[in-house]
Amino acid sequence: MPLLEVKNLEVSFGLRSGEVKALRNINFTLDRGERLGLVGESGAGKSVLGFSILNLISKPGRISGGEILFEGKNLADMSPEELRDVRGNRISMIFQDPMMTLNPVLTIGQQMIECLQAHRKISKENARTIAIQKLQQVQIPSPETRIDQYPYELSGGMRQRVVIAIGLLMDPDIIIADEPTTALDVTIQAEIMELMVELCERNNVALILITHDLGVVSQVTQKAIVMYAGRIIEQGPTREIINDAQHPYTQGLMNALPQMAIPGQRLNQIRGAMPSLQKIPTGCAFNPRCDYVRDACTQQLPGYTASGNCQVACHMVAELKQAEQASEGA
Amino acid sequence: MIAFFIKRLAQAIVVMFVISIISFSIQDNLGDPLREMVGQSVSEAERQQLRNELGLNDPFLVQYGRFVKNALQGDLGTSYFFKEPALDVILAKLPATLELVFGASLIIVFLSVPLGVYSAINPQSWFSKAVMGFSIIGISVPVFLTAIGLIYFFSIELGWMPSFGRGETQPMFWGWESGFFTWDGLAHLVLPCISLASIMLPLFIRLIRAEMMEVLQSEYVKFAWAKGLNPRRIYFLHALKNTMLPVITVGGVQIGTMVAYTILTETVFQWPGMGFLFLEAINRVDTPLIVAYLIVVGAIFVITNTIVDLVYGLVNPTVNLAGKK
Repeated sequence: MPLLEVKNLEVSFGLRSGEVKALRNINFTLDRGERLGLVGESGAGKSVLGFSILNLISKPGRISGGEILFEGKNLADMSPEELRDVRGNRISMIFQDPMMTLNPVLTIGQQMIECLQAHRKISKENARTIAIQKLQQVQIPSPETRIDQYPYELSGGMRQRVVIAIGLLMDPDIIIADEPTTALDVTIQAEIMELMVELCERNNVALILITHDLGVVSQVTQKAIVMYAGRIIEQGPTREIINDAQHPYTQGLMNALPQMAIPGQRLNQIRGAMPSLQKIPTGCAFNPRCDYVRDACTQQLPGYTASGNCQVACHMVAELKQAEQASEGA
Repeated sequence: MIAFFIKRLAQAIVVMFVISIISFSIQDNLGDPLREMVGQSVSEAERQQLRNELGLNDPFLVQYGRFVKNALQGDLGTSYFFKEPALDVILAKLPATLELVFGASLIIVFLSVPLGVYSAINPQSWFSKAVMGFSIIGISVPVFLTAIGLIYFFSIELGWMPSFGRGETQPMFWGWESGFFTWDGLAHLVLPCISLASIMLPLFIRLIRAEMMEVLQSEYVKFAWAKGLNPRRIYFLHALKNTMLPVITVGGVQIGTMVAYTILTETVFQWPGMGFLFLEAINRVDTPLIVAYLIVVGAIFVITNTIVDLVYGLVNPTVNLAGKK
């Protein structure tokens, strides 16, 4: 049994203009210690997916269908009490902006100790000792003094280390990291990412990494999911997706990497922009931006086709593959 | 900490200086105090002589300079009507007003926080909607109308509550007569305190609700949920502490405003406090008393705001009053 299995997950937002589906037909699994990358443009639904795993979507959003099986138990229909037992304990989350994640009026120690005490019968002193240990693990210098400080006394990188330490406090099974380095200085992004991966590896924690940085995904994860307009359009082993992307959108993302550009020329980009969730085109949501569009693409939602170890939602997969092989053969 | 007080003191001096100029310059325009002080039979020549004796004919700056010189020695002039030092007259009435404000503040603090928090957490419930509806009414209805309505229902129709005065009071220290320690005194406090609170309470409920709703949307509250904390801890520690920061600031200013609002409440309830005295002083053109009242109220503003800043520093760690590293 996989550690986490998401089946046919659907998330809707009840807006004044009607109900909008932010996620549709999401299926994937995650094994213990596995690292999964969740990629896509802004608005693709990556963060919503991350939050929905913890059943933590803010109103007016809700899980409107499907199951999120964590060790066989469905998080989507758990009682608030049961959910509280999972959140921060078995599955923890690291947010995007460390400047906003920590409560400004509580000390680092208060914010760590409360988490330990929420999940375990433990004295304040013991909780404090554990908190200091975790701060040490995330390489915060002199944690004994840092623990009594307020968030404003720490730099952004330091704060994100604290957030990671809070994520690791209960030795969880899964950490969901929602763009954990985007808000940070470029010089420390790599450092924080490395630290996070190393700690996950050491403690055998599964990681769901939400990002739009394909470079990070290729370095860090074993499995990748590419999302577009609320659907998974391609998923499979990271190496296969990076080396041999099947979906035109994924190919477009790969080509858009600065490394792929020819010096002196404009960077490649995918023309157009992602549709808003209220105006998703019929058929394949990507069809208005796709170079290979056919009649089927504008009429029918593509199902998933197996290609190697990947699952791809595209009508053109077989055709494109043939064309590719033909050009390679020539 | 010392630096904070010195800075505050300097600010207070400037503020008090401005208040004194403004309130003192009013006195020339309030009518003729002589008309109230002397009878019809006094001749114009005698009036002029009296004016000269009182220094009312001196240029403004001379009068003001004399006023400041005396004020610095604690003498804010002598009330024309009471023939006593104006400051003493006002300070004798201060306890009654402060107790009224204190009682109203208690009502506001103990009702606005739970009601505001509840309606922020459950914005869709019928109770929250009712609270919001009543708060609009509370803000819209003027204090004197609320006061008269309360008297009509609870004193005249139902006969439950006394309609005027302070009732039985108990002497405390420094001539402070308190109504808080006798049943009769407490009964007399109820209606005036409610009517004084009637405007501020809805204001604070709405303020706390709005702030709290914003805080509940914040990332750190979301993170607190993701940590699996008890909802009570999230609402009453994580969210409420951040909610109270702006509320404390507004609250400090409002305490001063409430002292001013007592004029209406005290008049309707014949409450023997400063506000009632002030209104009488205006009717009698008792200028020294008016000026002294404005200065005392100004001082109360300055003091409450200083205390509020201190409290704010205790709640908000990013404000560092103590200057510690």
